[in-house]
Amino acid sequence: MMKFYTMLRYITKLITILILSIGTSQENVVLDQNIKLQDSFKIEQKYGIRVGVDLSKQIRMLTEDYTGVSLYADLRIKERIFIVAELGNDDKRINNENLNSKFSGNYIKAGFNYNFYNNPLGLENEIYFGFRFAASKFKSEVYDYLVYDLDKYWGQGRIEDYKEYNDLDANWIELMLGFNTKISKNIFMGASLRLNRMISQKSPDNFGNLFIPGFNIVTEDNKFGTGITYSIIYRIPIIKK
Amino acid sequence: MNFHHYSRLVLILFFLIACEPDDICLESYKDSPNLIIKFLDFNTGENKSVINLKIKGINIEDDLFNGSTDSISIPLNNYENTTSFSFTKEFDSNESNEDLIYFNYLRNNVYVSRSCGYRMEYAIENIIVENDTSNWIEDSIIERRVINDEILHHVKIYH
Repeated sequence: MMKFYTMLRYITKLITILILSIGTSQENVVLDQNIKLQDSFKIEQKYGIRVGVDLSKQIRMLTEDYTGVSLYADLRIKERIFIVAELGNDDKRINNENLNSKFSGNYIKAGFNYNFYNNPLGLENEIYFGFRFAASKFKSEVYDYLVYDLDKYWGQGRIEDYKEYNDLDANWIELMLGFNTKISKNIFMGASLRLNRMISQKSPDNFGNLFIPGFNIVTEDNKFGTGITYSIIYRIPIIKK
Repeated sequence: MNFHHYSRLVLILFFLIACEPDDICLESYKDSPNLIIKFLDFNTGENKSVINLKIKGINIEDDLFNGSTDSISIPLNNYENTTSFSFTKEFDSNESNEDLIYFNYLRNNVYVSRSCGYRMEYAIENIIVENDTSNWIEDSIIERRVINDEILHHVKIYH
């Protein structure tokens, strides 16, 4: 129940921020359009490198036993196509009634976004479909466990038996839907939802991959996972077309 | 659909996937196996019930079993390499006879699932029946050393 409330608080916060950011962008739109009306024949399309961070990780750090960071970069190569790379690190404790464990490691994701939103004059928003190929290298640790035994005649206690499993890896693909909205000159805010599908994973003989950095929670007997991001992105103002 | 419709759609989907699945162990997985003992006649080698058998762990209040049977399934201690039981035959009569029996084994944890953690499997090393003036247990034989299922008996006890 506690988890539900913290999650609710986190979502409410997130939505407030997002709504504020969309509101802000709308004011800019009006201004932009006024400016554009003055020289409506010249439509300037900006191409360039953008860099960003995924703030959803920082928000997760407040509510979960988790630390992580994720960096983002994209390059606009066509009017609608961006090449994207993401680099990150996750460190997640998974503690439940029967098992205490930790998963930590790095990941890299590469792919593209296709912006299918037709911007009115002067706007630089994106609503996109994205595709990523992702790879992670990580390790897992088991701290202690409660023996799974239904008749508890001999009583129950935790068995502390520390085990570390190194050199684990996983590969997967991600399909995503997201949006980026310009909130001021060269600064964008965005969110994305991702559906991940595992391609391959290496798990230890006597333990499972319950969480994979970059992939997120791995549910039992299921190749699919989900992820969310909430990013602030800065466009380095160099290239113009 | 304009930009705001799309962004609202994304926000609604946020709600749907933001919750983690609950970590509750469903009892559909096999748990740590019990030790299964079969009782046989010492002379003929045929199945023979023990009349009014009472089984309890030494130093434990509660009984594990009460009744007449020719086979029994009992849990081993997951936290030690020895489990000690008191086996009393004809516990409700003047003829009642208590034998103490010790099972020594090795333990091996086997990963089950995220929510259930680990279960224990065992490999029996030996069985010791404490000598007293009148043991009703004549002999014990380890039939299947490794206890990782509950399909067949692991140990035979002759009486």
